[in-house]
Amino acid sequence: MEGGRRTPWVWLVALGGLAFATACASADEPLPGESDSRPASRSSRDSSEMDRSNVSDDGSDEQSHPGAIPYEYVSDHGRPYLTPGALEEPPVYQPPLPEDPGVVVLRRLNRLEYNNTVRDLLGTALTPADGFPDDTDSDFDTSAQALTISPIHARQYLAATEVLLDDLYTSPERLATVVDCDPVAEGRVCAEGIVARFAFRAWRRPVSDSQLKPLFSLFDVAESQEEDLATGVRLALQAALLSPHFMFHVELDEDPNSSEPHALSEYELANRLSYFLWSSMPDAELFADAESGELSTDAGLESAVERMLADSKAEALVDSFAKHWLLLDAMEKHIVDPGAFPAFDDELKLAMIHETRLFFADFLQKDRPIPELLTTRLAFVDARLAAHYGLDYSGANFSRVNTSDSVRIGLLTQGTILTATSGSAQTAPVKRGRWVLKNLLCSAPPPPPPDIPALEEEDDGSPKTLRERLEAHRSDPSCAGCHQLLDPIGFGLENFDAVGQYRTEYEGQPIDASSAFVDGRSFETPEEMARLLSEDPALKKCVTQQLLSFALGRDFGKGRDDDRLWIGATSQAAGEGAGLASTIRAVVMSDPFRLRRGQEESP
Amino acid sequence: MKRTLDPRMSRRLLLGGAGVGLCLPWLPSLSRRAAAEEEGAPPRFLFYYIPNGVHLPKFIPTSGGTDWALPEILDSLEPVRQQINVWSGLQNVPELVTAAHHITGGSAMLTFTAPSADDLVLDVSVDQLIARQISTGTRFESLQLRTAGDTNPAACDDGIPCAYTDAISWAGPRAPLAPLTDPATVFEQLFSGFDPNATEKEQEKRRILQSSVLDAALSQAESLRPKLGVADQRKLEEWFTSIRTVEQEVMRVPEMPDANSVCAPPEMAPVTPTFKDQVQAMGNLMALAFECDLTRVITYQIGRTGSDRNYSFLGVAGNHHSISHHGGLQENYDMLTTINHFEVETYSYLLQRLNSSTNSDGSSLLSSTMAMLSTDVGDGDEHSQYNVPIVAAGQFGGRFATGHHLDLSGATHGSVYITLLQSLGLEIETFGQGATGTVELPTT
Repeated sequence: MEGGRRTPWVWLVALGGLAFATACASADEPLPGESDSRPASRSSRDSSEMDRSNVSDDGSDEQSHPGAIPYEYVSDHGRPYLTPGALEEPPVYQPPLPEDPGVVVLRRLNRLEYNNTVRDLLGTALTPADGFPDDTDSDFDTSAQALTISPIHARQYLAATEVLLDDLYTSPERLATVVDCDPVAEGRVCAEGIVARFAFRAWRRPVSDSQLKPLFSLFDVAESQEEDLATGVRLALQAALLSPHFMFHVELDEDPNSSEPHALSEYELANRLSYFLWSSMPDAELFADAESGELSTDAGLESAVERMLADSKAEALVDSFAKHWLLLDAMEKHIVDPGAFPAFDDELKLAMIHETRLFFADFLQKDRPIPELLTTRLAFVDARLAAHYGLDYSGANFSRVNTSDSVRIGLLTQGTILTATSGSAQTAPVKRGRWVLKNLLCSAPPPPPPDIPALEEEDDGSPKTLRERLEAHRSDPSCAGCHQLLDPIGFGLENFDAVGQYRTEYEGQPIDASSAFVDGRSFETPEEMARLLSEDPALKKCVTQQLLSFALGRDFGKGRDDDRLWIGATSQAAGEGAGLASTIRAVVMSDPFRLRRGQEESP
Repeated sequence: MKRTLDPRMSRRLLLGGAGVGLCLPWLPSLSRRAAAEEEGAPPRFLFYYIPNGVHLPKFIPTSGGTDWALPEILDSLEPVRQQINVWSGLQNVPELVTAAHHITGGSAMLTFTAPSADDLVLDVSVDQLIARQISTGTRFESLQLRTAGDTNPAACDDGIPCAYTDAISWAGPRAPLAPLTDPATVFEQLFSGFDPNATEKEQEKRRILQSSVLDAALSQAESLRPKLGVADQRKLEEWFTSIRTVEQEVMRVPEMPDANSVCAPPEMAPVTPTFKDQVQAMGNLMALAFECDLTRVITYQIGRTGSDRNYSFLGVAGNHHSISHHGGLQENYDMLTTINHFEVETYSYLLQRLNSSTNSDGSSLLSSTMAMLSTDVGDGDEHSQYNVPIVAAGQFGGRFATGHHLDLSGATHGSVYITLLQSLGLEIETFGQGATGTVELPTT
């Protein structure tokens, strides 16, 4: 890793007893996990006219860009942050094929996928993956990089298959769906049939004789141990569940060393689709669509998406995609300081999480336009949450309420978002700003620096608000680059404390929520800020990008042609009103979702 | 506020009520005849990782040699005072570290390797090398445990893989060993699959059937390999190696019980989700795993690297990582001291349990163990990877003397690991990135 480029860094540090303040400093070295070339990589590129000569195959630039716009003023997609004009209208999608769909790496089932798959495969109510090591990572838990396998996993897999089969064999009705003839009475043909039919479903694709042979060999092992053929069948079922064909999302390349894009096989497409929308295996109908060839037609694929989104299994998107995207997971783990907020308890926390889940599901089911995520005046609350928010609702159950007369507007004023981006006792404006930039606009500033000195207390004796200290801090030009992007959003939300309750003052000082984005657009209230953000064309694109990252298990946006690919997908969605469901549909119809390629052998 | 953990409480946690479980049938497969080794009790290695550095002035003894007083943070170690060493001044700084951060410190902790930019690569960790030397005959070559429930603002939501903060043991450059975090799952893994009434023949049959099933699964990899690219093959290899490891574990023939063994696995009772109970349950499970000789190598993280756990149950306001950026404020020093004191107390609890368990040669389990406690950085505010102390308990089966405070300034954690590996007969001269040579540790 070569140093040399001086990058302004942002980082959160504790400031005395305060939870989060900010400080930043110049650092000569990038942080582990951050490529040296990354920040400037797209600054010199235009989305529609790309010079490939300076881009390597893995998507990283190999040349530096001495004349490039300083990174801090430029978003990942090559336009100044929050500057209107550059891309106000989605560009017209022109498919200059072949585009590079990027490399999708073999990944295993994550915990949710494992549980859902065995539910649909075996009809079990057990969720054996709950005890597997945590898959949660910095990205979606479909990220191939994060889904490692160790002997600890393998032990758990072995134990899980035993538990699952014990469970199956205690339920005659369910067992009959798998073991549908009597191997002891009918012999080997019956036994092989059971195993072959099961392997097809468990492996979610047609199975060859040579792949079945090792399973059939377990019949002989059983015999040699003086066990009957029924035991042999059970052993084979267990082996099928331990097979890499079960454990992985298998997608094959005829020529794994060729980077020429090719269409996924129909069964592979069926699997991508069902794990994207359901976090589970395809059902019989989807298998039939794959078998008939229906799925490879645009019309067939579209109607499959319609059907699957309408199925209750699509609620998995809340537990998979929204869990990470909208901080449901982070909120669950978030700890609020009981000293600072004695009234905050698990009931309130769960209510907040439930609100965000219902909110996301509502957008999904109704295909509500994405900008409304930030501006809707509808909230989902129960009495407890309503009281916390200062809303007038006393029903015990969750209900949709109109918040037109309140300060609550859209996602940004929800307890989940406001709390999970705070410290345990105090707000963290920079963290809030960073979350909005990263998850809603896909233009986060660089990750934290390796090391920074703590922000010095001003010692002129006069008390300063956090905002005043941050602003003083921004007078340092090397800090300003990042902080002028991060801080305004954080300031705009300062009327909401670390558990999302509205406030007009903090520690005796009035809160000033007015600020301005770097392009000059200013706002006075959280509502005005939310409206400005909702108008940013980056929002729609970012949602598409997040969905693609989740669906493909790779960090979408880093690949060579990702810019063009997701702009294409967004344009399609925009034509249909840019609702959340439409965007999901567009993602499925997009090239990166339907194509794959191998990877040239690298040293 | 200080709380003391009573070692006598140990069983109650796992037993879930008075008297239950102690009379469980003896599980013959569980207790290997550890002491059957002719040289005496087998060595064991344990690493107890605490995140965010420590408040050094209350951690490092003020004098060296054997005549020193336990500093405030370590005072709960009094009952095992003669069984511990403190090694101060050590550097947790691999050659390729270019900047100090929790992630670099946590990554280097057992690997002495700097994390790779934009990728998930470290190197094999010392505990794994030790395990391959001393633990291959046990049911599990090694165990990795962590207590969950803490957030981590230092990494993990910034595109940096969580494995750098959530795992300290690495089987190889791309193989982080994700720890188990749920005590009930750990218990299940340690003690499942054993039928105390099974005859030897039945057990043999079970081994054959299980390993045949795993074998059948392993052979499936063959049909996949030719149509997978390099990155895919790497993932498949991870899976293959892991299943293979388990197959070998399954095939091991357990030995007859050692009459002197203290292994008596009780029923696992539900553990409350409170952090304190979770840590104590993990302590009990670690002791149990050693007592039953299920493994000889364990690494434990009381939290993730950069953990921002809330310690309000100790009367501490704010979160651990934030507090560790103390800014030179006394109130933060005090809170750090309280947190560190608690952490060491939980470690002491485990040491006392090991000290009261005996090997069949009459020696204490602790004496045959090397049970280290350390942290990613020294001073948390600076993220300094210099002056990162180790508390090293146990004589590692007579290999090292205890009771010493040594100032090892200038030496690295890597060279300490080389010393340990050599003491086990491994011909290793370098470790990780740039560690060479050994440190001079008093021997018995």
